[in-house]
Amino acid sequence: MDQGQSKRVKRRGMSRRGFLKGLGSGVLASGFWHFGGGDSLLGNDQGERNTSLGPGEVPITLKVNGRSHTVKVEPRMTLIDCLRMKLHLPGTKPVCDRGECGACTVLLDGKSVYSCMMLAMDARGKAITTIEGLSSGDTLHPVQEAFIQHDGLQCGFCTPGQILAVTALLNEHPDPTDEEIRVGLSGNLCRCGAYPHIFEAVQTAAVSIRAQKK
Amino acid sequence: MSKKITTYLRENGRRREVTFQVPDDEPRRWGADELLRVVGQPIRRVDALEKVTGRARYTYDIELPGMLYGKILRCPHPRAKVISLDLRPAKKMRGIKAAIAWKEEALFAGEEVAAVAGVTKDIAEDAIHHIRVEYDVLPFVVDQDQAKNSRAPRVREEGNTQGPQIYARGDIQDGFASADLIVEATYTTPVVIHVPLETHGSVAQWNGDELTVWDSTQAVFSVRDALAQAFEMPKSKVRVIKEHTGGAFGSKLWMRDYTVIAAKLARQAGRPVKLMLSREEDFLCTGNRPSSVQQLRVGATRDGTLTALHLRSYGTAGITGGAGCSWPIRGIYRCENVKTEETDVFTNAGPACPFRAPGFVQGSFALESILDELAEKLEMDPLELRKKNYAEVDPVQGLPYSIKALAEEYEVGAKAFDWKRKWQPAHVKKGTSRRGVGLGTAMWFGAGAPPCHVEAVIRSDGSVTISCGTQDIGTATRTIMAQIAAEELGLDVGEIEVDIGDTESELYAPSSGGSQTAATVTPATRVALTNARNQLFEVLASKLGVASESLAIGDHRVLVGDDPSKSLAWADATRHLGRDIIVALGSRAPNPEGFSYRTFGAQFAEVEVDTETGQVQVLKIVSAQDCGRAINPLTVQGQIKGGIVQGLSYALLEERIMDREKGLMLNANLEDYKIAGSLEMPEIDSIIVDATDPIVNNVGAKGIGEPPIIPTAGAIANAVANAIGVRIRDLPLTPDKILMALEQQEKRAG
Amino acid sequence: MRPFTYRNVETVEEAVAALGTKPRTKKAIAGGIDLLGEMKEQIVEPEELINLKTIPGLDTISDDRKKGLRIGALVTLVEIHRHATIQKRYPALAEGALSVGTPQIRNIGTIGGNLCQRPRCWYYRNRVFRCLKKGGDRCYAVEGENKYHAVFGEGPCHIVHPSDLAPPLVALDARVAITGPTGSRTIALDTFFTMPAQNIFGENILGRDEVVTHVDVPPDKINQRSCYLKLREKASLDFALASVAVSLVLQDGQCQAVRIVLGGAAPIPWRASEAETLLLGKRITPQRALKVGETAVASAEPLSKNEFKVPLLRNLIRRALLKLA
Repeated sequence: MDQGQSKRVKRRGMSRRGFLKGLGSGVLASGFWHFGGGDSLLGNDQGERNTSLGPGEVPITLKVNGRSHTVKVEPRMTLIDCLRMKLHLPGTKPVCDRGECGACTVLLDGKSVYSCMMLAMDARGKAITTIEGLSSGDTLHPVQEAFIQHDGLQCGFCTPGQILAVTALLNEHPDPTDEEIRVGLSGNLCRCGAYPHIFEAVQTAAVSIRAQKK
Repeated sequence: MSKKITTYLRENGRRREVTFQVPDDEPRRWGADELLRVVGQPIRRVDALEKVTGRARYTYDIELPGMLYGKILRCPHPRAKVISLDLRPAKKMRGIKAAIAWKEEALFAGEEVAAVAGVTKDIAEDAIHHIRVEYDVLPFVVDQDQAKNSRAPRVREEGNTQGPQIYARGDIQDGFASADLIVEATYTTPVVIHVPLETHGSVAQWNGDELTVWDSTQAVFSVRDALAQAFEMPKSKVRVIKEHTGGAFGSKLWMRDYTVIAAKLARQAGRPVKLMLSREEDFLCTGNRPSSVQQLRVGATRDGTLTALHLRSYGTAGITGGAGCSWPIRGIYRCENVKTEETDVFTNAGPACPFRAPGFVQGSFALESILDELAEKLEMDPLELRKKNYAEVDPVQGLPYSIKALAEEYEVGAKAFDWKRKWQPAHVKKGTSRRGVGLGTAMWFGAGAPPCHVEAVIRSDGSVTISCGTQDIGTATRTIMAQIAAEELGLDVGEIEVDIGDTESELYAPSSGGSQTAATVTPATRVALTNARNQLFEVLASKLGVASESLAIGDHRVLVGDDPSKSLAWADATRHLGRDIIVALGSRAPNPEGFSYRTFGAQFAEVEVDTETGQVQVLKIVSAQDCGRAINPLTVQGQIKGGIVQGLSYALLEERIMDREKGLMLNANLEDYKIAGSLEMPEIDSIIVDATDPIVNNVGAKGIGEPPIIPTAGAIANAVANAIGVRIRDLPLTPDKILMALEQQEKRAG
Repeated sequence: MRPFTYRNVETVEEAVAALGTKPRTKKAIAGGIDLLGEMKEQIVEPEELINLKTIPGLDTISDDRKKGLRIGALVTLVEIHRHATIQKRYPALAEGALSVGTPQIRNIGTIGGNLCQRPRCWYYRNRVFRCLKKGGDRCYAVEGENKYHAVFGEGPCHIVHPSDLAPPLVALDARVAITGPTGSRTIALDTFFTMPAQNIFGENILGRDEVVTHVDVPPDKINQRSCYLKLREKASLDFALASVAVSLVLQDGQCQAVRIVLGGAAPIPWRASEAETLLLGKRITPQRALKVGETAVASAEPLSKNEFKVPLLRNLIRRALLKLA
């Protein structure tokens, strides 16, 4: 990403705003509740059965937010590193790097997974949804809208993961009970303690998604 | 020059007149019953959209052209000297662009020894393994009780203890002599870690002799000044930026070595360097809330009046002090005879750093616990005991409170909780699920203070920008500043651009700590906005040929006299600026003297203890809390509930565990260091009690970040004791302790 | 993580052959959560990962009223928890699966990986401690922080087996199918796990060039009941402080075929055999349930900081039995 950051800008703040402008564009929308699965276990990469790949970079194709991307990764690269550093999608947050907090949650064929504990290679052939792909153009996903309404966030660092976990939860339980909400979010830590507001946001989002579907 | 103001406030349901002095040029204070359009409303936070779409930029997300990734080699021994260090094998690796040596002696496991920067994160991590380093491993101590022993290895040359620091008022011997009853017990709390979800880290970029650093911080100016000092550069050549910070809680109040390391690596490589710590590094090196061992003694007369409080405590964070925890004992309740003696103990472990209500959280747990033990002996309702010792004036300063709504908080909290019905004296109950209730009191400062400077800009197209070198660490600083500006100009928050978190403006604001941001920044914002508005009025007055005093702000309009037909839409009014622009500064005035400025709150907890497993489930917390004027009740509620959640986590789960033999932290990860999640959440009923403080500042607001975490652990511990009839005096209240206490209780009962 | 190569195999035989070539440098990967955790901590540094997920047919549950269940090793924990037959006829297994980790982990973690996962002992997981399992000469838990360690098993290593599926599966008399270079075999799951004295470097009999392909659960008997109770400090993403799986047949109120298996207690899923016999042919009363619990923990030898596990296990057993009564 080249936002001209190396140049000191005369007027304060301008460089940061300029920095922000280039982001969030080029993101294609994917449907809210429909996730297509991959056709083959290996996606589009053929001819690698029982052959040793790597340890250097190998090309892989990932379907992220409705778009296919071919990138070169070492087999050791995790999905989160690939999303952030290769595809420049920094909305997925690194926090524990051990599958212990949920900040890196993305959807894989609609199911929530920890992208820090998955190799990028293992995400081939799956429809990957990150926070950048959840809203549809300027229209927010109902879960995003509800998080704003109920202030289901403070510092915001866990928020992308929380929102994706809620989205997965509501895919399965369109009308969740309190217990289902708590269990559904039990893989996502919020150190600011926004849980009570997040629970309210889930209920509101569930209502608006059900209303949209009618 | 100053002027005298007489106004009134509403306190505990009563109206009270107050008189005080403020500087001449202060804007008119918003009164207790001021009718406000935007301030006091539950407004959606202005940066929520960025945060829910993943567009919010944190330091971790900064990418610059040619940027390298830094990684630090850390000493694996709790105490060691570096005998030899060879960076060459790392430097020779492909993709490694810089390598530097750092400390030559480590005082705890995790101190920085060397660092590299490489073209990818993985390459930098690989290179760390190729640095050759030999250590002379030295004797160490990580256990606070062992450290106190005179034969223990010395953490500091001066010795392993510091203090005691003594505070005294009255005479505790007299106090205990006049007591009908004395209760004494020792309470212990563990070292706990802040665990902000965004780890600490910086991105450093040089442009000639100028340094720009993006830092995950809660104090841009503090980091800027420290960097200027570290590099012996003028402050004008250093710029620190923080757009969003992924949590801090006190752990990001000052610059640490990683920032300097990133800048040194960047200089060596001639390329920008990003250096974000791993979760493990964050656990080891970035601060903690120290432990405490609090030997507490309280004397009281039959009717519950406290006659003496005596605290002897010690505690450790590791290599730095800060284990004090006496404030609640000194300042929350009325007691004439108080003595506190506090000793810091040094061990070979990571350092202390202020953690949300530092000292208060530990001290409150012990104080609220012993008050309940006293109440039990007095056969008194614990709430009545606290009311009995209600402080009408600040017991430490001897000053009147500007406002104190605690009486109302006890009342509305108890009512919402149904305390009268739920509380029963602790007794051995039947069944395996036993419920109990407890309470605690919050007291904190949060009045804010100068210096702080805000700039307001109004342009001819009607756009408004307010700037300040403050920070929003998730506390909604941007939003409440926008609310103040919107209020003063008759606009909506979405029409105000807020530019904060950058030292480039030189608009100093203090660190976002001590719950001082809202009460420091918003009054300065009001001054800037009233100045800007007055300038606009002067321009309009001359253009329209009216007296500027006849102009006023309405909803998206400038009103002229009392003739509605002459009023101007905001956009039309600002168009009169033509090629001119309004730039107005506002500075924070000092708080009027002669008052003690505090916030108060009461928390009530209900728990259920499973006597077969020792597991505690917190069922409900009711909080009644004030913070002066709640500028944004929606985000204030978030702060209150978040504080309670952290308090609950402290009460039930958290603890740094050190291996004594090797001197290492064993649980430096989010599996073994347990923090509360969705399934631990109780029902939280949070009531904001209005205690708008027209004395403290022109907005009437005080901070809310810290107060709500203070009483939670004590309230929960009291509820657990009330449920099972045995008291656990050692946090966290884990199943093992409860189960063993119940086993012993059963044995005693035969 | 250190660099490694990656190999997708499409048959079990390919996997076995690949693992068998320079076996010390290879690791099989399925869900990967446990393995990647170990690799990130540099506890293991394989040169090649053999991806089992590309083997077709191992990700299904076949459900036959006569033969019982055959669960492919790649079946995820969420699939086990949600499976209608498992919920209905083998509730202990469904409860065990639900108690693992978090939704995200259950979406990815497999039954094979869960049974073969390595211990969570923080001395084992910390690269600085060269403990017995890493070729060192001592167990640091003995003198160290051992609150979460074993109360049975006599060492010399004091880990607890971390699996939440193993206790219910052993209680349900499951068998495990293993394929190696010489072919396939099926053994009782309770003979799969090994004590540290037998095998310090692993927790089961699996060879480096062998893979678990299936888990077989025998058909449930008439009036069979089961449950799994797990106590943890934190209600999600936490391993058991102690757990108990009980399976029994209740015939006219009398217990038959009782199996009680403890988790968080020993280096293997710990069968409380002597205690089980107290129930045979008997009714479950509160007094008898307590007696069974007491008998089960009578031989416990707690370490300095885990004495609480003794009453905890006793109470969990009593509670589980009364729940099934």
